[in-house]
Amino acid sequence: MKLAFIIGGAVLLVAMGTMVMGALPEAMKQPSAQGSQDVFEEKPTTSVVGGFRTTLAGYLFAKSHEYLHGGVVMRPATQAEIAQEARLASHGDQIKDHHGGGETTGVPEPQRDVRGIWGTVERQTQPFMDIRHHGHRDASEALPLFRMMTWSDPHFVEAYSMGAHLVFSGVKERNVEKALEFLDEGIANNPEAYVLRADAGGYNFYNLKRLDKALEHYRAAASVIERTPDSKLDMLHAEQTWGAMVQVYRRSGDKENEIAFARRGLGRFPTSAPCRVTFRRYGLPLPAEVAAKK
Amino acid sequence: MNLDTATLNPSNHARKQGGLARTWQICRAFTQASLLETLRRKDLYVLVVLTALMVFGSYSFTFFGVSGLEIFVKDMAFTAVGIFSTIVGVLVAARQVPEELSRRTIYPLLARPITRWQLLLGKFVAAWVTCIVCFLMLALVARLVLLATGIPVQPIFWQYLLLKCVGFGWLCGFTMCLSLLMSQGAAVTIALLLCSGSAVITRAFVMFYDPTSGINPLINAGYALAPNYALFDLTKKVVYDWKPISASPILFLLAYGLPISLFWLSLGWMRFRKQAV
Repeated sequence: MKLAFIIGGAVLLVAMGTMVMGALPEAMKQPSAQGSQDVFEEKPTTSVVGGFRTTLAGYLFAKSHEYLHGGVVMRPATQAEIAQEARLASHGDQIKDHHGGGETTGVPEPQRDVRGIWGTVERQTQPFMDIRHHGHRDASEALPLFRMMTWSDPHFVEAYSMGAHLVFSGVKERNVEKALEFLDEGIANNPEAYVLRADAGGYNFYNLKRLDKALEHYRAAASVIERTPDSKLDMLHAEQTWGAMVQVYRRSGDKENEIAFARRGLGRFPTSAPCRVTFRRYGLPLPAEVAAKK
Repeated sequence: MNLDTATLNPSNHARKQGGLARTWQICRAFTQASLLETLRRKDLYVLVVLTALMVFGSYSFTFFGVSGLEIFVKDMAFTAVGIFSTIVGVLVAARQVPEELSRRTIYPLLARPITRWQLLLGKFVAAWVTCIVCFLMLALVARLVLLATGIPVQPIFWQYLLLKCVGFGWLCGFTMCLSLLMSQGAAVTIALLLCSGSAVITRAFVMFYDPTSGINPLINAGYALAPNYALFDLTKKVVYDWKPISASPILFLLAYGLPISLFWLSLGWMRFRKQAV
């Protein structure tokens, strides 16, 4: 009886913690380019109480991964497993970009399983599939989770980005407008999250060919990138974002801005191919400090 | 523990002491007593209400405009059933013998013509049946709530029920063994840890095992003794609407489940037979 009350109490505590966190002033604070963790780590009160929200959102994020793969649990492969040529995740349909580098299944494939009959039984009783060129369940099943994640933690930038990607690349139907709607909500909650701006710019540029809207988002993203130190940026992603912006200027025929942003971009990302192409295209010499790095 | 005199005081106990019919009578008497005790303790009612609340709670998101939550609600329902039934199972199994000792009701029991093995087997069957009854009640509540919310469950659900019931045999045998080797609290803690971490333990083994070490046959034999509780759990397949599994793994688990349960029970008995009460 006591134990049952303890379990019930724990459930109530989590619910109350979530509500209390919503009332704390820190919850209204905007995170930096990295997302909510920066906000929640500032004060002990938010770390303890508010942590529930990020934990819940993180749990739901992991669950969404599981939903897409029909319950098949994945994890990063160890170096030894990669050396043993373990099967690594690759995609067989349009839902991409949600696996980190070198993920394998928690339940190993028969060729790599030393447990014999025990492994065979586990592969029968637990969800298992060959993850090479694997397909996914309908993304719409996971979408409600992204809705709940962002309710629970409105500063969960990755959830907005991933959720929009799933809406966009759903197995049954694609819906770019809905994806952009979801991203707009994320941008409103996280104006400093350049990742969301870059995503919105990408959908507008590559899918909808709305160059003016794409530029608006890319300019906002570039502004954040310029203000953010290297240590707080995903440099590869930031470089790609900047390069995409230069390409939009090129496509829209705005030569002046294209060159100006390519020059500024090379100052920060000397290896950026789109920026270098701009200089080559117009027969301009590369800035001296960049040319030296080639 | 109140057991009727007719069951435990046969007229010719020397003849009946080791007989199957006698053992069956003992098991039945202990089972009835254990079921009554579980119903009297009211733990189960709280867990049933909590399960229903958790499922309805997860479904309540639909009232706020989030649709398409079928998988999420099903996940919550069967996760709750799995966790709560495991907790009940461990608590029921862990208290069978230690409580008889602490209440000193073990003396009148052992004064009757019952061997210690029969006592232990009777307690094991009682715990197992009680676990199954509690689990089926929780599963029924979850199923009814899912039915009420219009969420379908595939036929693999029946295989899930069957394998879970077999798995509770392992759980009861293992926990009872632990409760005879250590204190009741320690047995509950370790059993819960090993049951909840069952899949993690076996996967960690697979992750770190070096296949070039050449001890595979030993591994396969020894693996039977690992905490394989998760092997009996089809929860995820039920949640994600997988097709029913083939007969061979079910038959394998049926053939493995009972012997391994009795193995753990025998290990506990080796300690209990010489234990001074």
